[in-house]
Amino acid sequence: MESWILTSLAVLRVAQYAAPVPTLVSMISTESVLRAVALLGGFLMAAGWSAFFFWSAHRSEPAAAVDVAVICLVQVITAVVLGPGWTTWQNWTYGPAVGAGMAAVLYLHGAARWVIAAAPVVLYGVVPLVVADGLDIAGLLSGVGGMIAFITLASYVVHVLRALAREVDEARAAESAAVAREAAAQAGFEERKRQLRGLHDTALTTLELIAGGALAVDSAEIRSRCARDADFLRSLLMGSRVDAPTDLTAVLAQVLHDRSALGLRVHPLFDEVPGSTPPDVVEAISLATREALNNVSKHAGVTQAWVTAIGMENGGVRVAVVDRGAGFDPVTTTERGMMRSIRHRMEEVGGSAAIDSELGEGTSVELTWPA
Amino acid sequence: MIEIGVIDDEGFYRDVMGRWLDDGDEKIELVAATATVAEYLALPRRAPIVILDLNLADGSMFTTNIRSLIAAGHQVVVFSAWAEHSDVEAATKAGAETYLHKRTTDTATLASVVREVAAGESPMTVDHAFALSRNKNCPELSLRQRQVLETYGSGVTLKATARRLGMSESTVKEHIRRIKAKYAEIGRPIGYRGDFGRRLAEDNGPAVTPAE
Repeated sequence: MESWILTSLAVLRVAQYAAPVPTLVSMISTESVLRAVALLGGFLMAAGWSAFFFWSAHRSEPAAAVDVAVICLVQVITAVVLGPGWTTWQNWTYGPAVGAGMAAVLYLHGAARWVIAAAPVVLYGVVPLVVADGLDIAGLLSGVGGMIAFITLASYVVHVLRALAREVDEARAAESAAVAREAAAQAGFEERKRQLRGLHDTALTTLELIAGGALAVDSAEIRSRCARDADFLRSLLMGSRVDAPTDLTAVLAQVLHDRSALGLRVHPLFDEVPGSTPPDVVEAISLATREALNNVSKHAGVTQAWVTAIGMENGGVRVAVVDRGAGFDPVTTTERGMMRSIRHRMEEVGGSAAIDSELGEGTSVELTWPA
Repeated sequence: MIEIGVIDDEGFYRDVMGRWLDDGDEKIELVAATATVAEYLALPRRAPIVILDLNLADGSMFTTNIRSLIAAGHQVVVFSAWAEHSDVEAATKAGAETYLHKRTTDTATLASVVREVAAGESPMTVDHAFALSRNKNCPELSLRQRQVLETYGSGVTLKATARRLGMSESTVKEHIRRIKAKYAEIGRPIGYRGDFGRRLAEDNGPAVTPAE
């Protein structure tokens, strides 16, 4: 908003200096060389100052007081040069004086700015009284009245614009604060939902299984389930992340859950997945699985998929993402972008990825770590 | 029309099963639904194909349940919310056609399993194949049969399984049938010598006359 005001004022100032050029030209051609040089010098000095004034105003506080002083000086010089014989039309400083007055009321502070802004107006009315002989009082008065009107109007318009801009800024700040609070609340809610989901997937299920008689209470299976659930509950109490980044089963379960929420039914086929796998491997496998499932959603044209995760004797793991959808012809289809990035992810952590597909036979992506 | 029966201790499944399977090319009709095997076998009108819940509230052993139903001439499809690999193995040994997971099975899968059983085919679900492929105490399966279980048990289509293993689709189906037969063979008691030839005949093997 401020830069727009300054630019408007600069455009106005250019017009204020351009308008009197014909007047100056006619005066220079009729006056003596000395007078002509003095008039032209005053004009060029004032115009040059204005250029500098606006150039520097873009970088620091506009030097409006100096602006007023310069135009006052030029007003006096012009009057002295023209002497007793001048007439009102010859006073080219009218426009620039209005411009300087505006700059003063817009960029100076307190009541003093009105006093400073009044200086060129007063000079415009008083100097002719001192130096000239034949006076056009009515012309002078209308000139002064016009100046006052212009300057007051500019002050009012800019005041309104600045108030509007301030309101918009305040509204924007309030809005972004509200958005930030909303996001924080949502994150807290998501975290709680995630914890509750974790409870549902672990402790609650185990208890239900025992209650339903599906699991013999005194079995190795139930003991290992209980141990895992206890770890989970402890991690909640300690405020650590629910999906410990080394637990591939938990991370993959989350991936499957997310995909299911997005409309793809994913059947987990997990067996003997190692309890702890290096975090970077867990991340690579989970991202690769996500990507493969995304691809099922995008290209396979089916609503279900199978994810097999099997631990291997060497402590490694094999994950397969399989769909029964459209598939593609591996001969005519160049390797898809997703496969390149999946392969890259797996190779970065010392694993490998393979894809198998044929038109109409679905697609299967197999991730193996270590390779 | 295919007739089915349901044995489930949860009234919900007894109620909705018929409605679930109602649509399709060939109508599947639920003609009998009970909470226990004993109640089912006591019915005057029963369907040949039975969908059996693995864990019934009456505390009966599911292997006994499957065997009783088969002995009464039924074909059993096991439908369960929870099953260990060893449970699936035991059910297969007891002679169940296949195993369906309640949580992951959709209507289409259940209907297609029922149709295959009715057509005299030998269906196997992905969950069933996966459980058997992960089973440590499996009967002697050939390398090819293991490969079939592993590949098909990861969700790969029958067609893609055949292509990947370099065999025909019908060979894959035949392997699946033989795998189930091998399990059932182990689980089946051979009471007297005469049973032996009959069992082999049931397996479509060469008819053998027991030596006197």
